[in-house]
Amino acid sequence: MRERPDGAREGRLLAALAAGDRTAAEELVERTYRGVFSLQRRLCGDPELAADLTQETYRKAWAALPGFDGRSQFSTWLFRIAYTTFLNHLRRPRRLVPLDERHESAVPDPAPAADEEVGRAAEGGRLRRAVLALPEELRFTVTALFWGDLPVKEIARHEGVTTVAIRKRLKRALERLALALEEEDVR
Amino acid sequence: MSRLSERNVRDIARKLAESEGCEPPAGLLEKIKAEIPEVTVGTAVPGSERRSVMLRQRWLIAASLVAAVGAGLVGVRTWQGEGERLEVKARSQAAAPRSVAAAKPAAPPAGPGALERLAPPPPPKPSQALGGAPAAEVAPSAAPAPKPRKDLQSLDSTASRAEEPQIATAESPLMAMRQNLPAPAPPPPPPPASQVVGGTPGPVEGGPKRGVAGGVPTDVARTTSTPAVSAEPPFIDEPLLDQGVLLDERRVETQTRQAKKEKPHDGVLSQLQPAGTDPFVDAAAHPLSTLKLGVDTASYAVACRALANGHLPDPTSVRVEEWVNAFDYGDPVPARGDFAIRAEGAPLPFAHGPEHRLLRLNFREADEPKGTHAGNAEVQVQFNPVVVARYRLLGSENRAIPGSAASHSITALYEIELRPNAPHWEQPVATLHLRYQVPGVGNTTETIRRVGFEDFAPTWEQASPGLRLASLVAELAEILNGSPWTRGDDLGLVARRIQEVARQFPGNAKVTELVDMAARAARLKTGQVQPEE
Repeated sequence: MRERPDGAREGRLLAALAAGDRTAAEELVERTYRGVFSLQRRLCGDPELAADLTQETYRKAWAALPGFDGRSQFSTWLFRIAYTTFLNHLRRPRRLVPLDERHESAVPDPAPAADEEVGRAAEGGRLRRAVLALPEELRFTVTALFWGDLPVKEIARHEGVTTVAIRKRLKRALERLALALEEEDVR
Repeated sequence: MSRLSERNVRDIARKLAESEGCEPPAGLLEKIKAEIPEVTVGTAVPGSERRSVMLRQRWLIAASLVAAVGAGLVGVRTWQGEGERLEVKARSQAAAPRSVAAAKPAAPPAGPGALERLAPPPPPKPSQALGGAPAAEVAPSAAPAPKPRKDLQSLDSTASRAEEPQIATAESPLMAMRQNLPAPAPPPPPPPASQVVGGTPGPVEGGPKRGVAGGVPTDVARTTSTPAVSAEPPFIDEPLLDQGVLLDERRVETQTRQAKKEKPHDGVLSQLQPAGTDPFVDAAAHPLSTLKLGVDTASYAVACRALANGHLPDPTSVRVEEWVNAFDYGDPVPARGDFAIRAEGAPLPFAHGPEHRLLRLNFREADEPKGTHAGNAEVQVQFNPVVVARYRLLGSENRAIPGSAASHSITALYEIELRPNAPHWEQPVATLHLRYQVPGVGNTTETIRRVGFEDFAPTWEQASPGLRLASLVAELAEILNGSPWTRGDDLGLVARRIQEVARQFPGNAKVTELVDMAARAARLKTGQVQPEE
């Protein structure tokens, strides 16, 4: 996802995987896991959770691999699984566990040096929430392009529209984000 | 778009492209590799095998179509040129089992002239043609006689009954059009199992007993025509909500409903619950919750004095909404307009159930409002019953939410219980309607804000400091006023969490005071501190 996918190499790896070559599966992971993690990190805003969701993405991908028909690139297909994994995570019921001493000790000391970091995180959080609040087609476009590093052409193919339509969507999405953040970003 | 917005658009694109902090942690690659299942290796993957399967499917479909067309041609030919032989065959069918007669795809016309109005009979379905039925059996049954024949009409009473609706359908253009609709709504009483509407054959005996409407099994049609109303919340246009526009002079019907009050965890406690404890409300029966914004925070000050004197506050004096509104959670002031609305949610800090969430709403008035004041405003929270099973407002039994007069900031907390199998996450959780009048102008202004799952943090620990603090203040207040909803919750744990969250509010004297209050309350509750005389 992050590295521009090499379609021919991907095809060879998938063929090797089909022939029972485990190293092909490992190489596919090596080529894509940074992108999947980066996507999850930007979607959820939490590195630990992003790592969990990245693992979950691959679990789902292995299970769904027989259904991959090769009409899109493997990386695009994987992006879609990662994206859906995150969306499903938002709706998943969670068991609540009382805080323990471990959590208490993990709370960062709000020293002045940390203020800048906290500010950046807060800004990133607002942008993230604004992206997630976009209508689905705009959200998917922004996420795929910026956070999934998918080419416009590949997104257009996935969505069944022209590249011009994708660029128009992108323009609308950015305008909406600007408006939403202008509304909120007044502190 | 303004210049500011254009610049912001570029900034946003730049920020979106930033990838700082997105490097995967050490060890993640190894973990993922370790989870590659053995069964995956060697699985027939993309491309080849899958495509060959698809190719086979296409061949099968093509073969079916050829067989169907062929059978249809045979039927037409038989119809046109072998009427006499048909008659003989049909007579012989009079004694045949009903299953053959019932399998006729089209029935003969009932009266003179009907033939001209009727379309040619449809060819048999591919599945029938491929199902092993000899062509000789299919063709005669598919072929009506060239003109009405009393002898044929009397062949099978079941077939005769089936003809009537078909003819009526063909004579009515409207009904004929309905035949092509995928899922027309059937009338309440389901049609008899053998009834046919729209020229589609009735069920073969021994098959499922279901009526057919327009080619769609009645039970399916009923499902698809079930008013989607039950599945769709009565919300306002999404574009409107997305933009959060202000609507002047918008008249919105105000629904005042007496909330259906559910009993707390057990009947005894429900009788003992003190004033100020709101019950859960069924969101399907009562999706609207109305808040009247007011100003009063005396309860917290009273409790502070009591605790400073070494006494636990009188439970009846502890009003959750006043405690919650005694603090500033750093909510934004409005960039434009009179109010800023903030909505955020998270799981509860204490385990009330896996589907329980806390929703914090803040309405903050502009520092220099145009003659408008919080006391003038009203908020209607419209819960989406498809997503939310029930909700309760923390405190504020009289529906008046106090606010800090100094900050013009008002906070309301809802505990909501999500439906375990709620539909897609994109469904809104709630919609907020803030309405107020501008004095002297007379117009009612309404601001609408959609609350979705994107406003919810995945865990309480990941929620904003403001939400965490508000949830703990409410928890503390509910424990002190004896709310049955906090039964069994540990005041000591609440005090420790308040201390922990307070670190996110450095220099905030009021929060520092709260830490001390909570610790005192916890000690008093457990009898570790004797009241001062």
